[in-house]
Amino acid sequence: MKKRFATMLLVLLTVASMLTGCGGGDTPPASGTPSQPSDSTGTQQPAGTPESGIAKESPMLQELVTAGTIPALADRLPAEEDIYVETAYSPQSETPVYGGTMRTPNIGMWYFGPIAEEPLFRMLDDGTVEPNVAKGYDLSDDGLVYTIHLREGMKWSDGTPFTAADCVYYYNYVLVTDVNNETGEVTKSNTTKYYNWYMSADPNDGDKLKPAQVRYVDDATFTITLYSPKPTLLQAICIDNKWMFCPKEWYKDIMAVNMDAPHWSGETDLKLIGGDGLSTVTEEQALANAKAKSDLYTFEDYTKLADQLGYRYWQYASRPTLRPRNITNALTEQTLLFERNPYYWKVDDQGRQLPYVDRIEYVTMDQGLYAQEIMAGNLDFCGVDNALFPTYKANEAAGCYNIKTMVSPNWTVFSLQLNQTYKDAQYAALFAEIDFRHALSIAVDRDEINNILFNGMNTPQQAAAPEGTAEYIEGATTKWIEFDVDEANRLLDGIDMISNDLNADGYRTFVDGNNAGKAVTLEIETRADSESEGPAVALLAQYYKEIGIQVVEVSNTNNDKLNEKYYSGDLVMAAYEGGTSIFSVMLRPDHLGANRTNICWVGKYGLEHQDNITPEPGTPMADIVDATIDLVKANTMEELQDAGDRLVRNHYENTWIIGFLNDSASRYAVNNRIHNWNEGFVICDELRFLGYGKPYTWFIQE
Amino acid sequence: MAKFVVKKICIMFLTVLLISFTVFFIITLPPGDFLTNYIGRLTAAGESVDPVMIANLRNQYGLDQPFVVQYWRWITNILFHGDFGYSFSLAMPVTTIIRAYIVPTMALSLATMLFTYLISIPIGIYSAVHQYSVGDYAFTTIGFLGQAVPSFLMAILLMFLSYTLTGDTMLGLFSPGMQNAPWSWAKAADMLKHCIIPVTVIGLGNTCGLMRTMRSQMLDELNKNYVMTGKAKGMKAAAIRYKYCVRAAVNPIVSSIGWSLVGIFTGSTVTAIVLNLPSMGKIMYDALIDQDMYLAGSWLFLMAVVTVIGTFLSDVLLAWLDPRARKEYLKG
Repeated sequence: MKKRFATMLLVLLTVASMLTGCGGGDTPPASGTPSQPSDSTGTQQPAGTPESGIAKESPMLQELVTAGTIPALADRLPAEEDIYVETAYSPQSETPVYGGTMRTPNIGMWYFGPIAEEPLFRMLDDGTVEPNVAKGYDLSDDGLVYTIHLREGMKWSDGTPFTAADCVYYYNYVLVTDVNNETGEVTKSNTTKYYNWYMSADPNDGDKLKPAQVRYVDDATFTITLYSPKPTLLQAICIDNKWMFCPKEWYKDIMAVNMDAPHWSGETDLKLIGGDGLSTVTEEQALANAKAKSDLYTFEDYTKLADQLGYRYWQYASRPTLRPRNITNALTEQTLLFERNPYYWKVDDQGRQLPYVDRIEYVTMDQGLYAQEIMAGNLDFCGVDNALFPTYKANEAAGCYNIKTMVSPNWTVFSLQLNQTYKDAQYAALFAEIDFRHALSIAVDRDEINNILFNGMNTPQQAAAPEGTAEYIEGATTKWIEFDVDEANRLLDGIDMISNDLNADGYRTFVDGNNAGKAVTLEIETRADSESEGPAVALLAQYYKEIGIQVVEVSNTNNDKLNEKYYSGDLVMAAYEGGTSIFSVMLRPDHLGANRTNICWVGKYGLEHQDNITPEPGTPMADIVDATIDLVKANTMEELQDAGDRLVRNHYENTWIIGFLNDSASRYAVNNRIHNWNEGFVICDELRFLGYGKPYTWFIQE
Repeated sequence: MAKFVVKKICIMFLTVLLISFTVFFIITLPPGDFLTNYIGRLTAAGESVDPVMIANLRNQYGLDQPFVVQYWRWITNILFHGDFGYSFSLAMPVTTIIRAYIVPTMALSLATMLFTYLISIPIGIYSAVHQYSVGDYAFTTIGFLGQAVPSFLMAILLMFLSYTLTGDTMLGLFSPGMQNAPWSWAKAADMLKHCIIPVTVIGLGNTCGLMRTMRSQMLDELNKNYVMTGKAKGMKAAAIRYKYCVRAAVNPIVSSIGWSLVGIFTGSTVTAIVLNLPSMGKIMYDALIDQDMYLAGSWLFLMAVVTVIGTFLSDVLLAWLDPRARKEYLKG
């Protein structure tokens, strides 16, 4: 007992030290072997005849049925042959209990959003997709027309029918409107929106990319027509456009569509979507109509309304969804309450409607409070801070919780990235020297960092795909990880632009140019709320002093400001906790390719960057850019694979990102009363983080 | 007295305007604005950012306008329409946010204030009257301890104590499950239970200070000649103490009520974070970090207003309480 008290006090005191940083820090670390096999099927019949006496729905809903508030279960579910039967995580030996409330910290919309997401198709951890909201699809022989089949009789959470018109409406009224309102054409020379889900090259029009055409066939069918084959269209939809639908009837009086916009010309058949006409409300009317739907919709202008209700809709109560639970209160509340959707369309293998748990509460609290709250039983699950892992582990039994280990997609627990387009040309040239990066990598004692900062739980590793993953290259993880200061000094001695001798302070200097005589200084950006970045840079400063390189840490208390520096491309280099997250390079090349704007090492070579610059032809960086473009334009799986391989190999050969240790694992503490929690899968955006574990199958049993 | 009040109100109005200008100037001082932060956040979340859209937003929110124009738009909207602007980060009007947080913040702060005065004034009187007694030493020790221990540490210690006694750390204002339950006696009792730690922690620092102030003021008063005169004329000691000495000794406390008002509206930020209280302090802190200019500006502005109102109330109370002060004010 004494030990438990002492531990609790220790945790509480740790809170004090953490609160000095007062940050959100929500990036879980990790590693291990990927994979949580999922064998769910989207279209099975309920298995066998349900045993009598077993409740088929939550008592909470049964009461509403009795009161006449909602129809009977059979009338709320899709047609019998189209019900989604969840078999993946159904318990073998226990009957799940309905009801209860789970509590977890609220770490923002990208936590409570994906956890309950219901996409058209669902990404699996092997990179394939399975039907989810959709029942299935057919692909034409020429690879251009996808025919998507939906589940008949499926309903939104307000009871209105979900049909193909909702998908077609979303694409043509919400998405394409947005895409086409962007400036200019999408071509290789104009890379705005280059990385886009529905874009494909028009074979009759050079390299111009055009958005797909999405058309209504009947209530349960619609088509997506491309200009050229796009083998990963469904994966792309899974990753970047999960919810390719919205409740048309609910939206049509709050979406103002500009009928005079050029992209509507000649598209008269769009007016026949679902047998209904186009919306003709003005932006002012849309705002007023939204306000009439809920007092919570207090948007200042139409742009905000469209952004929040059109895109980030899961934060707003009374917006119908297909999710297992919907928010019921205002975002300003300290505890957000999500309650079950009476029309949820999935059942378990006994025909019992999911989810089992009635409510989830997301409680806003500082990260430093998680440990004590899970130990006190006030939280049901939360992310485990690696620094506190031993404390969590030591109190598993006393706190009545279990540590669940998940897999991280990160190539390294933290990395060093040198901005290849830094505005000072002399530094940019130095960063482009492969020997300079080599020296920075081997001058570091990785074992020491591991022991000091990570309780010895990680292993030395270069930033590279771990063994067992699709991107693994033999030797990549161990490249340049041997601690060798003499060799590092020898490599630096061979670089002409910096001196071999040290100045009075013990640093190498630039030989000539605008920095002549000045010490070679690396300004490394860190986030103040990161557990590892600041301390790691302090250690790096010591190691790099041994090779005559000065390190200055630029600690950022405001992460948005740091992101702004990434965006402007003005930062020298960054220590990055996590940050090299790769689920599948050919599906999402963001951290290895040159498409995004916020990747430190890419800088302004990022194709989406407003000040995009082109690397010198024939250089390794030019190949990165070309491979990124080829990924977007690939028409076959072979082309995709080839472009992805080029990116991975380029990184292996050039080590643009210097890694130090593997990412050991993402961990969660889960109260023992929560059953059916699945562990071991990859926690990443592509799989929708915890959502991949199908939280609608969790249940509470004390 | 009326002349005094009118004069004070005029000065208050000018002061508030001046403060509002300063506040707005300060929150626009850091380089960049909310939209540059917003761009950073979008790109960090892996979303694309269209420069044209950003330029349009900047124009729409008037962020491309000169500072004075932005200020004029903000202050006139507050004065003539009661519109405090829009919070970029929370995507809702500032008034909605204030409305959501003001009630728990004020409830907590008023309870704390009540706790502070109800505890500190009687103890201060007791300590002065029983100077150098065991009780005086005990309260003095507690007083010094209370002042010396940082409130967040005290919060942690009390949470630990609560955990060892009840198995619950009593975070927040409600137990799990009670937060979203409809109001009932059980919910009210639960809230009161959860108020014990925050009220004690936030109140204790102030209580100890006020206790010492009251004690020293009372000691001063008890040694004055009018007390001796009263005694000589046969007045009861208690009557002298409570009718005259306390009334005079309480002056510094009354004159500091204005400052307490600010605390009432903000809550104690650090303690609120440690105890996970839904107070305005945390929202304000995030708004400043995020450069959410209208939310941060409006809150700073409100704080300035309550400070000025508090000072005014202190002056009026003092004038009402102390004839000498009243005379001075009227003369001035």
